[in-house]
Amino acid sequence: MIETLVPRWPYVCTVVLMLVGLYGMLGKQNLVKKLIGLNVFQTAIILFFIVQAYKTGASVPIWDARLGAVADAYVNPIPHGLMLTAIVVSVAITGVALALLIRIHRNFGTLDEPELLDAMKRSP
Amino acid sequence: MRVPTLAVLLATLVVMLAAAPGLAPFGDPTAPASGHVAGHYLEHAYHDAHTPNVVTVMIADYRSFDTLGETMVVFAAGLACALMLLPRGRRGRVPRFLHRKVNLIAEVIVRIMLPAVQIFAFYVIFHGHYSPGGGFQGGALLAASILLGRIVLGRSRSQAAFPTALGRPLGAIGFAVFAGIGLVGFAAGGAFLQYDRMPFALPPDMLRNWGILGIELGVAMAVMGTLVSIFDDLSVGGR
Amino acid sequence: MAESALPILILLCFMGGAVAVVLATLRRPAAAWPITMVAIAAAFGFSLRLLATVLDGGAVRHRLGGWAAPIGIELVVDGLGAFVICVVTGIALLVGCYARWAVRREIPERESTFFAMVLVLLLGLSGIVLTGDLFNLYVFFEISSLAAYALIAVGDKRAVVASFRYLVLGTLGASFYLLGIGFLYTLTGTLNMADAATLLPELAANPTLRVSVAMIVTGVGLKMAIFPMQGWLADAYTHASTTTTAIVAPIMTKVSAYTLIRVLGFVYGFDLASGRLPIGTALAWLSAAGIVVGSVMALAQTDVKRMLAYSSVAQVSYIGLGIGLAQPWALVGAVLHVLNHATMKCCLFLVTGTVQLATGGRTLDDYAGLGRRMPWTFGAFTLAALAMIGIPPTGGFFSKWYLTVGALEAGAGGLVVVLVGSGLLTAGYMFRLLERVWARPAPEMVMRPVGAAAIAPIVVLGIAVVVFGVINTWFVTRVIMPSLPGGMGGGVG
Repeated sequence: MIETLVPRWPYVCTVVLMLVGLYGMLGKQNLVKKLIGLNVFQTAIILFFIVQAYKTGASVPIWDARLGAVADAYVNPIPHGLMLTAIVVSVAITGVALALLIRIHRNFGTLDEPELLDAMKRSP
Repeated sequence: MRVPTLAVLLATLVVMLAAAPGLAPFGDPTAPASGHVAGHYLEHAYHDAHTPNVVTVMIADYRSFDTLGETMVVFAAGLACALMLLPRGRRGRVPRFLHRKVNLIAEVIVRIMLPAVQIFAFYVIFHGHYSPGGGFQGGALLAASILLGRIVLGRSRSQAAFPTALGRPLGAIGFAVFAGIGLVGFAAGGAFLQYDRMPFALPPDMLRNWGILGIELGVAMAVMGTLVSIFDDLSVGGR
Repeated sequence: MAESALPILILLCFMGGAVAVVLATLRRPAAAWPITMVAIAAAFGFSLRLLATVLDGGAVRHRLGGWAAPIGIELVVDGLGAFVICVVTGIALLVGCYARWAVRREIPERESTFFAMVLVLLLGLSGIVLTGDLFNLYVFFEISSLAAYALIAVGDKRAVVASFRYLVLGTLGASFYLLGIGFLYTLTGTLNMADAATLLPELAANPTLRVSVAMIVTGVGLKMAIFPMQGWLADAYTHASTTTTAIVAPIMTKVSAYTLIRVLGFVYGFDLASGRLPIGTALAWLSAAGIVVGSVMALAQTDVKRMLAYSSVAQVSYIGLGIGLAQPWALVGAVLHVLNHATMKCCLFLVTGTVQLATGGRTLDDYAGLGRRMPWTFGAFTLAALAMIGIPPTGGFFSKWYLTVGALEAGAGGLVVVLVGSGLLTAGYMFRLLERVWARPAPEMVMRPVGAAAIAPIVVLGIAVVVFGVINTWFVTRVIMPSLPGGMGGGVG
């Protein structure tokens, strides 16, 4: 187990980050903290993709006349491009979630989940 | 921590670690992930689009449809905030911090900074061909410059510079510019978003170069307009 | 494979429509609904044309940017995709007729933004069905989800909480899907569905592959409301506005089901996913649990909309069951149920919307005697209810029949018991409602007038429920069986 994990240590870091995010989403009662947990989880996935793109000793994926059109001289560009999209999607979802939280607070006066369930039962 | 939460966390940990042996070691250049498609992009990007930044060529040419989708996500987020936050009937009151002027030092510094931020934003957009950058990053910087003005310069001057009503239409126009460039090649007989079929007298790689620049500008407009409209809706909708 | 511009034209209708609504309503706010209807009608027309093209000449594709897969993104449409896109655009067209009256009543002053959001939702759902690239599917998944979160939030007071819960769980699901295709990418180096399908069989023993398929199924299952991840659906459908429920309930979970069929059946292949890994079995049993839970919970409700929402959990689990069994007849039943359930549920939710806006009534007792006051509406409602129970010759009977045959041939006797039992439970809660509607005296209250434009789609759907049942063999033999993965359709007698 350790022999497989050590050469993949950045992957283990992303797993730890994912667990932190999941704990935030499931274990915390405040809705804002749940949202932060979701964000951390998404960031962990983005990090997972980027980690897979790295090649030891390679340069940034910007064509350089000195290196030529040799694939091994550059880092894999695909995960970087995909994660640009994923980051923007994550930002958009966070924006919508924050707007929802503002509305929830306006309607019920609280962002704490047990208090919110109480307030929902009391109001029509 | 409650038992179900702990169970989910442990299950996730076990599943993720079970996947570890099949992954390539960190930094391995022979990993399948860096295989045929990535190799093609790295070897052909400069030849196909006369653009050194391979990531820009990938997201703005080879996989431009993903970027179009992403621009739609940004635009939809702006629409969503408007749908959820605008109060029925009379618009809500704008919070006080957007009305009063902040102190003189902040105002003077921001007035010097804003043009510099905007020029840098345009640099990021145009230089996205040659270094990390592009439409999203530049658009976010442009939006940041407007928002800084909203916060520091006071409502009346900031609204005069960029009125709230301009935000969402600008987002729509930015998206339309992107889709419109895609339609030019489509109307000329090629596929949607095929730049080298655009009816201009340039070699195919330069057509793609200009096509990429065009859509990056569309994206920047869309991102700028939407981010400013989201800020405006959030600041009014909270009341 | 032939080239065709039809897939991108469908998407352009929705893109152009959304932009046009936002820009045109700056000057003329009343233009929102007409532009929306033109966009949806055009998309429906293109979808029918696409179905005809695919049935004649086989699958079509459109190479975006002029790049061939796997270098670029392709839109690929086979019989299954064309079938689902016709269902999506058809339902949207009918709800659009109803929406003009309803949105004006429920969400005044935000009509234009609402309709723009509906077009974005339809863009996202269409993109999922038409794309041939796994990451592109994720982008459209998120477009449709974001639109759904916003549309659900403009309901009653509790809708915002339901929408937030749906947002957290839905984004979690999408993230699991993204993680799954991340693992798939690290194994194969490609994101194109067809390309991955050729590379995956030799990697079958790889542990990462198993984790990737588990992640994708978990993520998509969350969006489909497969047990035990169905908790968000009832609240979201109950508290949303009537138009939102009418358009989201029939098609969103179905498109997620289509994604599952596409990924499990075409990318991984059923003999890999269901044969060598226990994914199919797990899916089948979880779906069975979902059927039971959904039906029992529906029986316990007094609010009609909530009852129908739990019933949706059960009905989508039928589709999940069919996919999990991976047996040809079960798959036929699952795909046919996409059409039938969309038709039935849309009709039912349009009726609850009409009743809510005309009388303000939401509970079972509020529906007492309404059959005599609104005969056309409840005539169609009765047809849809009979289809839900599964009474021939309505469509609902046939999809359940094929699922049962598939379960028997797969040797899963326990699942047959679940299918039959759930039919009885469905009969229980449906007849309870029908009894109140028809057998009680008509109420004296004053009802707000209901326009013909709102009732027409309900009647059309009620008739369609029966017609689709009668002509179901055409669907099965001409459309569904030729589109089943891996030549499964050829082996069905």
